[in-house]
Amino acid sequence: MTDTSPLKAKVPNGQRAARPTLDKPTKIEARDLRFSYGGDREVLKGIDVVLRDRTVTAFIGPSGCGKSTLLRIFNRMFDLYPGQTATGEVLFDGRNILSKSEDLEELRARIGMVFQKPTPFPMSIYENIAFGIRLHEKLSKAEQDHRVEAALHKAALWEEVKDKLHQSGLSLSGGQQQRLCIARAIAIRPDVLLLDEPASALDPISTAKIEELIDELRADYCIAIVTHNMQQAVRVSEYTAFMYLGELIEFGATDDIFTHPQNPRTEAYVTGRFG
Amino acid sequence: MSLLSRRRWTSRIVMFLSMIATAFGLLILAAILWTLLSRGITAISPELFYLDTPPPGVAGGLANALYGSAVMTLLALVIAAPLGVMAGTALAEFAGTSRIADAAGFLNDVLLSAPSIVIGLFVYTAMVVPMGHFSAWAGAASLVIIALPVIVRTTQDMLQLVPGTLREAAVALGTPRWRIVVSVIWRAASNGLVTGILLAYARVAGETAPLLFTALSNQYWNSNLDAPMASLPVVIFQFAMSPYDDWQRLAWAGALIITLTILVINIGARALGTSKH
Repeated sequence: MTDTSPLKAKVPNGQRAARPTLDKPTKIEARDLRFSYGGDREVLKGIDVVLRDRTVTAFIGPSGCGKSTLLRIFNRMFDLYPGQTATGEVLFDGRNILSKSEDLEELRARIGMVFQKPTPFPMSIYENIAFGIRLHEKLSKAEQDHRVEAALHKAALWEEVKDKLHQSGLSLSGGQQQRLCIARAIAIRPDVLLLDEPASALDPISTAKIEELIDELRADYCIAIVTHNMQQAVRVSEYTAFMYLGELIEFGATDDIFTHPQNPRTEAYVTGRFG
Repeated sequence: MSLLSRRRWTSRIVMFLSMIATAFGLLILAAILWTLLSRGITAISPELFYLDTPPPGVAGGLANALYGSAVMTLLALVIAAPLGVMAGTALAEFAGTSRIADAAGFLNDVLLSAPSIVIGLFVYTAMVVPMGHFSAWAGAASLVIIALPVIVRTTQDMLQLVPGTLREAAVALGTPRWRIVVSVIWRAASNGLVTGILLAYARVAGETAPLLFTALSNQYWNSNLDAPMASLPVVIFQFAMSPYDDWQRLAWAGALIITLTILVINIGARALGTSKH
């Protein structure tokens, strides 16, 4: 693996590879990250990966390879489930968020997440967005209204919902619900957005809208997206990580991964020969 | 016989037997309702609602019993609903899979099926004897004990039906745990929670045995909770067993009122439980 791609897939244990010279600063960095759902079996077997600010990084790989698991470590979602353990380091702006003393509510305010299935709360469209804002900030009514509107604009949903802000969020279509969830996530001004197959439950038109949205959002956020759709990875991401059986097989510029992958397994996967 | 026609015949026979079983159950219900309606409807009159239970041979109504039932069941629900919802929430959201949670859930199920007369006797020894007299307080307390496990169980079940993805979505916003429960989970399950409380009401509205031992009854209008109080089921029990025609008519009227109330509550709970948010 003497590739010239900007980032190397694996950093040798314990050592730091020469820092790749890239313009965007590192936002999240995992070092020798291992994860288990309880028991001895490791689902992630020493992942080293870097997510850059204002950049979209796609995670691809066959089902069960650990992509979603990895994403759920970045916001410590796995903490909900006793027995699940992560070891190694995840540096978020240089601070190890796996440490016991991490304030999870504060962390999750800065690292937002959108799930495969749209998950609007059982409240109005307005309240769905305002809910998160109120958790973290005390704003005047006018400021809050403004923030809700801005988030809906940013999620390209404002025009569709501006006349029915007080209807239930559940009354929206699936694609609209998903954009509502993205609006909800960005309303609290996170640094990072974790998107776990955000379009896999949506029709092609809604998917296209979500992809356009990701393209808009890349200017402001560090985005990690898990996807099973390789065309989608090509369309939306600058970097792609290929994972297989809990290991990061190859990581590099999306162009390189899809046009001349270094690893034969990556090549087999991106050309559709397995997975 | 070909395979297909044999299947058709099996299907017909099973269908026939199922219909009979259904008809049997429904016929009993229809017979009860018919008896109640035919005997009770003639006894329904405006006096029922403003005259108290009379001595034999005198015109009267059920006003004191209706009032007593309303006061004691509502008092019981006011106490049991918050307690039950909290306990059910603790079991569903906070206790996880610990052994204490399992034990608490199991004990709750035991309480759920405890004979109501035992609960009446318990409150009799625990409240009536120390206080020295029967009272509406003791009656309400026994109804609390009956309503509580119903509400705990339905709350727990309804909260467990809330999809985990909704919980995770709230967690992902950095929501504190109590806030997730109050603002998201309870709201998502609100219909179910109300259903549980209505079912508990329907359950306690017809309880007789526990009230016999605790609130006893009262021939007169009483709004003092610290004294014996009449209730519909106990009055029905007394009057139906009596040899007097006018008392028996009042018992039929009371039975009709109580059954219709419970029927309406059950249908309401059903409608709420199946309707989407």
